[in-house]
Amino acid sequence: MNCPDFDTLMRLLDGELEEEKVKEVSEHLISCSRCRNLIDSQRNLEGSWRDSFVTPDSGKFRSMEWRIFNRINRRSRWKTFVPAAAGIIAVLLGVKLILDNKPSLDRVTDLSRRSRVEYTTDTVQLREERAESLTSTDDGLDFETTAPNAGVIAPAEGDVSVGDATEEIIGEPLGYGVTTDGAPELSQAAADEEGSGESLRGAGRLIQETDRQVIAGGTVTESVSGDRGSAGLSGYEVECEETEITEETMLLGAVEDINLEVQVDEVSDITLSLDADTTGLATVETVPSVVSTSEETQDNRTLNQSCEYHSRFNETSYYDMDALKVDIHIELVFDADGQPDSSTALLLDSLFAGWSDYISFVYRDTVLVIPLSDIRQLFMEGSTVPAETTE
Amino acid sequence: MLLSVLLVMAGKEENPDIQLLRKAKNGDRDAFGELFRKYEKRVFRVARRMCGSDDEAWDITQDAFIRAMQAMDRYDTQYRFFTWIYRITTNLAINYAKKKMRRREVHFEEAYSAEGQQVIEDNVADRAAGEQLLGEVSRAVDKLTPALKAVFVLRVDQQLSYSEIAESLDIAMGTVMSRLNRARLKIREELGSMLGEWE
Repeated sequence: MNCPDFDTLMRLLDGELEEEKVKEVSEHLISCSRCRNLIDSQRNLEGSWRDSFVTPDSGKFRSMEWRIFNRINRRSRWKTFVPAAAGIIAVLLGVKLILDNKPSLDRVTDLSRRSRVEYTTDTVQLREERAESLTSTDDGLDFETTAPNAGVIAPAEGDVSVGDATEEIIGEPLGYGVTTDGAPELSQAAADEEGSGESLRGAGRLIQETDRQVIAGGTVTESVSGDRGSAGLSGYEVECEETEITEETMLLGAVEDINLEVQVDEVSDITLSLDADTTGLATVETVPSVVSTSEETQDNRTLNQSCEYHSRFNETSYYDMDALKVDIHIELVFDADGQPDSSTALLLDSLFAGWSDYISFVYRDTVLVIPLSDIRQLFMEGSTVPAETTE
Repeated sequence: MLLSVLLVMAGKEENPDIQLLRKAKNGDRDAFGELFRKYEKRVFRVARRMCGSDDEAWDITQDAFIRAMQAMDRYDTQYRFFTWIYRITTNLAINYAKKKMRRREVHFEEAYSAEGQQVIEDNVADRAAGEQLLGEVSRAVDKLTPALKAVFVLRVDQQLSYSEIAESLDIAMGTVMSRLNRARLKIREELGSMLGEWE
């Protein structure tokens, strides 16, 4: 037998040679040192190359696992909104939220050192844990909310508004309805226990704003102010007035040795905000959520409610770069035609026109790396755009 | 009749990986963790073999899983999950390599403070210190075109069968064999006389 070709020998090496040829080629190898050496050398070099790989330790994989999961389940960030949404329902029922107990600054500083901060070596978990309890007072109108042990470790500010609420209530309406002025219309479905009652369905709009302050670690204090929603059921009519929620989260105390990663390109809808002393990132997200509650009425009937909210969140997070020791940069990617990729295009939309044009023109076929600290320049109205542009 | 019923039932039985994928997509943290841990090292390894640095490999690994989750609706469940994630990974690596070949990197502060001064970073392949032969093999593999490299990596590093490679890269078996052959010959050509060291 003549020497088989290279392809045949390699298929034998890979165990992919047809059965009828294996015997023939194997017999040839016994008598042909050249072919044998060729297979041996290939096997050895490939084996050495394969075995030379050093797999990183699992720490980085664990960090990545957490990061990916949170990114693909971005909505989970807003699970903390559910208690707030429950509060909105309470408002619909004519319940007012009363919160108090603001801690002093001294106490806050102390608490921050004991905060339940969870982080990995290269990622900050912006995590908030809240436990809220609603306790009805005797008249069924007042609730107290406590939210202990928040773990938010980065300062953030944001506005939360809730709109387009739809509500369906099954059960006899409560009798302690409160009617307010200037409210948008909200109708509801209702049926009495015997099932013979009428059923009304409708949609309304609710915007509620509250003020909330969350301190890292320790006790969270929350206050609800503004035009407190007071609405209720009076017969089969519900009226509700617009209220607003503003939410503020603060961090006191430094977090060290943390590499905060901001993956701008993965944020679907991002705007940058530089209206504070520290640099910040603002994200805007529209998050649908469904809140269901079941409640015993004073006359031992069950009131089931399910509301779907399409909420638009505006969140601005501020980071103290010195304290966090982070290196955040944004990459703007342009192809050979000067066209930005999708995330870059989104960012450029936020830039002032002069800068946007300049960047698009100059940086064709380029990844432009911009430290977060320099992004300020791109947003400052009146900042100098280089007069001369070159490719 | 009985056979057809059994076949239907068999058809309805879902691959465990797909079940994990669905659960993970619906926010099941444990399911995602299980799926991720099952494939993380393999995906990273393919990515690292395909590209020039650990950093790129991490990026590709992360993107591969994110895309797998996001594109779940387009996943044809007749294929095995690992071939699908390999396909995503190799495609990402190939795209990454193409972009890298095209683009220079400019740091804003340099470009802004000294206009016109632009930094072009060359990506230099890692050298296996003290292991010249292995270094030469790595360099020879790095020189392969992305298409040849993908086949070579999946065969030699991941030890996939030809049919699994074909499924992963969505190419014909014949293409797998011809690309693998070309890749090996190119590597041997690069190594030249050093090949004798391996015999």
